[in-house]
Amino acid sequence: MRFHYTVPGDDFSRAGNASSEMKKALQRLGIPHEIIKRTAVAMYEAEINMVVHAGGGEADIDIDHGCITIVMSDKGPGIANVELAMQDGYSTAPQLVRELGFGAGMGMSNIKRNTDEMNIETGEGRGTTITMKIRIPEDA
Amino acid sequence: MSPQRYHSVILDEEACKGCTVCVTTCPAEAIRVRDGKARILAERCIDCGECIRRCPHHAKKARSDDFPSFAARSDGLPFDFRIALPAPSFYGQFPVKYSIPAIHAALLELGFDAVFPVAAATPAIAAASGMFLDRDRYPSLPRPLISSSCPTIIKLIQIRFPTLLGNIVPVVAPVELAGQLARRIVLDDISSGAIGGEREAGGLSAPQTVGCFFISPCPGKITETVAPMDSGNSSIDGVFAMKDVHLPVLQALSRGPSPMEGVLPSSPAEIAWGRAGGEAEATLREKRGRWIAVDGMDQCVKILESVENGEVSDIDFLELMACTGGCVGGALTAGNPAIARHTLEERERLFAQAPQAGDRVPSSDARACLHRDKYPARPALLLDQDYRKAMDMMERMEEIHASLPGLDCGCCGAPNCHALAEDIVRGTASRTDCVIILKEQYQELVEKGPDKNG
Repeated sequence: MRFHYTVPGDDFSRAGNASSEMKKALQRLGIPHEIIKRTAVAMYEAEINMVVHAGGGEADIDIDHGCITIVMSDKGPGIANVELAMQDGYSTAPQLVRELGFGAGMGMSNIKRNTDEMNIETGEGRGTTITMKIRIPEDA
Repeated sequence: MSPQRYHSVILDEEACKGCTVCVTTCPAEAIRVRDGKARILAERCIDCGECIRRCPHHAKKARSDDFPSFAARSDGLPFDFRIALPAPSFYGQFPVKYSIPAIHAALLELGFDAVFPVAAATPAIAAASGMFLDRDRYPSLPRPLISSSCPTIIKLIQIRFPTLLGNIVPVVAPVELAGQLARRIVLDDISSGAIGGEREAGGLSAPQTVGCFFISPCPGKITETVAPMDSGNSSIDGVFAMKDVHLPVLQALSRGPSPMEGVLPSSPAEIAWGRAGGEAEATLREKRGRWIAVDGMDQCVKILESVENGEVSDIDFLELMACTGGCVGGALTAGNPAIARHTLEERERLFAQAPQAGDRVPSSDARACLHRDKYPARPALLLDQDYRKAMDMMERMEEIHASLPGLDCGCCGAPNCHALAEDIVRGTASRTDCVIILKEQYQELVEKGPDKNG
């Protein structure tokens, strides 16, 4: 089962809408609450990143029997140094964004913490595609 | 006591015209028009009372006890001593010129034998909640802790935010403790002869059965007292809607009853629970900690999303009130919520200047304040227990949704096109419930002509 959402750029009030919709869909399927929470948090962080850095992007979610796969891709500036970006507290968010309470530099590590697999395809000027996988336990 | 039930909002079928005002404005999407009547889906209703506020035909009501028959002592209830427990928001319903002791006296005139203000139970509840705020003592409790006093918020969390059930502070609602305290005081007075003594002297027997009657601002608190989410029994025996008691009390007040002694609220903080912010202020008074108070359903949903996203874990306490303005905005209140809130704040101010001296409230054991059971999740959105079946249903649901006009008009009796798609896969509605689709099909038939149909 596939879902597609467009994440708008430069509109904080709508960041989080996709993860919120996803949450409802997962509840309809009876996915365990902890899995739903991890999915929502990872997706929310990625959404915020898209709004802050990339002027929005696209979210594609695929749910099959064993796994939730989320692909979030944007045509933004790309991440120059992925290793740095993964460190807690490292942020390139502009001051304005930080004043809104975002950009604390926890987004990427938060995504890693909440997913079972995380893959980043990026490069300066190439945009960024983050693929996240969250496994649904057999007995769920 | 009535069996377990989810909600106290009911439909008056006679009065319902089958319009979709309540359907499209229900924040839980819990109402559908079926066979011309706006029926409530029991498992989804969170008792917020929005339909009661919105219905132009007053067809949505709360299942409360009937006050006129109570006042006439013709309700057949087996209580020969009846205690009124007005919610803090009650004092916002009457002009400030009527003092709280006068309001209590008016309740006595209407047939109650004693009054115990729910406000008097709030300090113990605030202390219990405050104890759990200590991060060193309770490091494993998730933050922020969420107040437990609004039952509609608890139901919202059970259905939409089950991962946050552990954030709800494990403390009972003030009315529950108030019922226990009121009963204890009265039973003590009966055994000491302070109550009933003169009755016995006059040849009547002392009261045998004590009933506690809550005066509620909302349907949520009715459900919580009649069919508590906790497995235990409630200390409350009956509930009246605030708006049913309002006018009789106002009439009694205009007769100028002599103010009543007895238990009174003893500080402004106690009556502040009736408005948004009051609970958080009382709970964190003299404590270090950050709190946010949120009122109104939309805003509560938004902040719960933020909690779930981990955005506010530096906040210690989150007061959530489903009604705008707090309990003074409850669907069963009588007065304008903004004025009621102002009145409460006026009373708080006057109170701070001239404290009232009422009877002492017996101290309550901290254990009496604890909510023992975990709140269960309510999987009201679940399509099917079987994951594969649920997945199939959801795929069909999204296909159907894509084929619907997307006007979200509500004419089909579901709140929006997505809900209609869901109802279709659940087998409770059909595509032709959509008036646009029905019109298209009709148009096609007309264009084809009758002969092609057979």
